[in-house]
Amino acid sequence: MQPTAHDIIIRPIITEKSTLLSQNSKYVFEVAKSATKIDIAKAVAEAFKVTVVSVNTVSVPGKLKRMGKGQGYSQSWKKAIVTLKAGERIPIFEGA
Amino acid sequence: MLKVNFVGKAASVATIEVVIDHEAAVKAIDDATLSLGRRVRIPGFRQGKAPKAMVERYAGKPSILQEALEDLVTSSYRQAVKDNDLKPIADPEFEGLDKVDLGSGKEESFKMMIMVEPEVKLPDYKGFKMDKTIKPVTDEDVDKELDGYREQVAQYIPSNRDKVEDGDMVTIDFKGLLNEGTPEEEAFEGGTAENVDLLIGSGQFIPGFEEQLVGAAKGADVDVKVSFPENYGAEHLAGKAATFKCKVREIKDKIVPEKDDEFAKKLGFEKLDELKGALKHGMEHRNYDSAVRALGVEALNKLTDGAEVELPAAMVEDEAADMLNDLARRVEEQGLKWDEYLKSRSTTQDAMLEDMRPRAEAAVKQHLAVRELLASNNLRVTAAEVDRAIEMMAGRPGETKPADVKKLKENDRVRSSVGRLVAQDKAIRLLSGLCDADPEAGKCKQHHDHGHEEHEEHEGHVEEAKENAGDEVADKE
Repeated sequence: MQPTAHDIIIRPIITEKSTLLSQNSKYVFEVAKSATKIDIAKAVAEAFKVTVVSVNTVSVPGKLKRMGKGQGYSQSWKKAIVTLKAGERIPIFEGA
Repeated sequence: MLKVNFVGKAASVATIEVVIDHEAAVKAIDDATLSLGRRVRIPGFRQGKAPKAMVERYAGKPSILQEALEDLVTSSYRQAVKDNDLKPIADPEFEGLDKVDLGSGKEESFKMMIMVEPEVKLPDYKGFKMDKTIKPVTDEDVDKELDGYREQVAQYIPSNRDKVEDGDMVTIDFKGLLNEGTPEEEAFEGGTAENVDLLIGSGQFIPGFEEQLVGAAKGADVDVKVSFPENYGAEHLAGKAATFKCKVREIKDKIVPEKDDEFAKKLGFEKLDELKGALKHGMEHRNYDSAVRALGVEALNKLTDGAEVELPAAMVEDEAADMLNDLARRVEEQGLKWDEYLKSRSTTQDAMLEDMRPRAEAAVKQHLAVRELLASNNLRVTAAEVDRAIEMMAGRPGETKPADVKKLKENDRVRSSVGRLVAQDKAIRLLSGLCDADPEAGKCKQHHDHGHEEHEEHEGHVEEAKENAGDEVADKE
């Protein structure tokens, strides 16, 4: 089965930093680890009906977490910074 | 624009209408969002850094609107007070505030009722001219005073009589027992003492005790059987029968010094007449002082009667409630239950409150008149004066524990009621000076130091000036 846009885009990252980036038409998402830049571009374009100009991705490694004497790593994940055509916006980043 | 309109004032309540148009509403919402944003913590943002839209989503529209309305109320209240020069004495009440919807986009309005310090119009008290009535001091009065003094300095000399008579001072040991002669016989606390001086006929002990000692021989053992009165202070003893096993150790005669020159000499006078003269003089001073005071009291009553003031209903109600509480406390101090007290007088709390009303009104009116009088004469009651008054009322050191006195001093209710008394006293003194038709009448012509009112008054003013610097007014209500 072909993955849908919602399988690829896991959630929007809404923080101070991402809000600042959104002013430059750059939107930040957590995406599936297996997703490629091309997958992400297609998914964002489809889900939000926008034009994607470029996609940058970062693999965010899990952090070392300790729980009592045990320790382990939190899930690592993939972050995608999606640049849209100037002037286009995604409303969920604006509190709407 | 936010409009704050003064609608009117009646019975010391100012009514203010606040009109909020769309523009003002939007601004208020914006401000509220900002200030909320400064307070709420939204994940992903440092505190206060979240954009407005985020704040709105997080806090919710209703709480933003509420915040905005609260801000509007505060600022319009401040503006109303400032613009109309109001002196509020209580929190304002609102009308139609719950119907205001800032998000409606339409013009909204509500009303504010602010209770303000009532305006008091005092009559022309400077024109009150009254004569004081000084009670003349008669020779009989002097004799009575002298007798009283002789009683006080009476000495007790061991007597050679061996039977106790009324008026004797006896030294006794006693041991009080409850249920005497039964297995439950027990001594009780405070019921046993040795070497106690008791003046027979002074009524110092419980009724019946002293009488039963009359006729007892010196050195004899006497059983005094008495019942404690029903209203006796110690509850566990009240109404109980007890037997006091007493031993009369000593019988003393009461020796009252004779009224003669020798007595006068002991007190530093040459002759008895001189002593009488001095006594008379002192009494004249006392009578003069009390006449001055009575005049002040009368002037204050006249001032209160003549004062024009719209009594704020809330103040009267508070006063009546205070009076009722006072009464309830006194009733319960006497060991009665308040409910039962009400029942026995076949009345209810509400009816009592209604009964209190005229007195409460009078009290509030006098209080307001006094305040206005002091204010218009640049007098005020300082915190230090209230402290002093509380100390005086608490009694001599040792009578009330210092910690308790301190507690009293820190009690706002006590402070405000004592402050009122102090203010009243000040007013009386002020008026007694102002309204005396003939200040010279009856004044002592001799130059000497008797601790005259004027001296005190003068010192008082100097102190006041010192204290006023940075001192809060004790009488804030």
